[in-house]
Amino acid sequence: MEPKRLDQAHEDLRELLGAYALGALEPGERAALERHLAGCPSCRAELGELRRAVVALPLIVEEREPSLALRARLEAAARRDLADAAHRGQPDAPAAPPAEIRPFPAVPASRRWLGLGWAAAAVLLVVSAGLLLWNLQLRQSAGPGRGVTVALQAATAAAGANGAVTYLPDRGVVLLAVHDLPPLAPQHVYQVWLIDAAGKPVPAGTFDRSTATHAVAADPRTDRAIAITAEPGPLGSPQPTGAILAQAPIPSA
Amino acid sequence: MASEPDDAALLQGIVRQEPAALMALYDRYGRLAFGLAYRTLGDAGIAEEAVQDAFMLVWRRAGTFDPSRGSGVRAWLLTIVHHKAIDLRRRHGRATTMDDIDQAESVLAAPDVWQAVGQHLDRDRVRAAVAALPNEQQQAIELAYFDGLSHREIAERTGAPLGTIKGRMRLGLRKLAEALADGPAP
Repeated sequence: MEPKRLDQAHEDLRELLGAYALGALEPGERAALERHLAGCPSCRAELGELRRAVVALPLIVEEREPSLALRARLEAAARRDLADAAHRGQPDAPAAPPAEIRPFPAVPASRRWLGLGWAAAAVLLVVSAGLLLWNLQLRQSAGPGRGVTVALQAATAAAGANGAVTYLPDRGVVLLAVHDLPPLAPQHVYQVWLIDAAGKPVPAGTFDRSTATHAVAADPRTDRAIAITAEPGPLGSPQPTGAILAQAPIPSA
Repeated sequence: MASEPDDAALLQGIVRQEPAALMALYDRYGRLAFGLAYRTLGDAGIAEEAVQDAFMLVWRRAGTFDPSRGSGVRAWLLTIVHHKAIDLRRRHGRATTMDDIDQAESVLAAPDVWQAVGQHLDRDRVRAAVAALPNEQQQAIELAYFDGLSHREIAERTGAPLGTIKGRMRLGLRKLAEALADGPAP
């Protein structure tokens, strides 16, 4: 094609950018433009600019008061959704038959917890014993796009505790449901940690009830396990100072 | 600028699946969301459905929001509301009866409190920038964005050639983007 025609063809595509940013293209045109955009940085740059304008458009409408019933319906729907998700994470909840049992990737205990600085040998023993004898029950949650659940392993220091960890892939969230953690000392909180493949723990929030549901944004590609310790409250600690009370690997789908 | 640190904190609460955080976000932006849905749908009942669906999507997907994006939580929420409203409009059409008269007397936001002042300032800025566009550019943009029309449908409705419509959209958005560029992102 002559250079002039190529330019014209490109200009024709560029003319679609405004309509594309506004969602006003028909499907066939959209596909053609998207193919072009994949290889054209200057069009992508212009599209970015146009999108910044589109994103501002909702602000020009008049605000309007919806019914009070909408607020009530929304709150009820959110609470119901939370109850459903937590229920699916319970070890005793009715569930589909167990899926194949997947062993947790075997990593030597000492290397795994290296760098955590937890001195107590007892803790290390518990942890390594837990890892070596780890026997996972993997239950496929019902429904597409729902999570994969693993049981929480309690340390001997938290013998009565139990619970489950569910990864919800379409939300990018790990849901931790735990029962009967040992009671907290005064001015302490339970703190959640996300552990990466090198064994490094990252703070992931706190809660103060011994039976609780806690959700945290997580990515199984980097966050390999979740753990709970007791820490001085109300904010917890930047690095764990207490013994692990319970832990589980984060299941990937 | 929309109160960004507060919005980010609310979103974190939603990621932690705290219903109170979702309801705080609703209290902050529910009227704007409903206004947007209503403008597109013309029917209060269906508009409420769009708003509820949008907030439930935020409830479920808060963990996937990327804070490093240029625009904030408010823009993300309103984009979701917009998509839901356009989707519902394509399915149900738009009500065109008594509700259009209601629109002329739409309820305004609650009186300003300090926290809301900043948000109203940038709303005023965007409104001024859109109002400053040539009428036909403003019209093309609004028909596409709020009424969900394709450029072909807009050409038919306005009687202008298709190429002209595309040009108006692109030029109008570019002008708008320039006008908004000197200042915080909406």
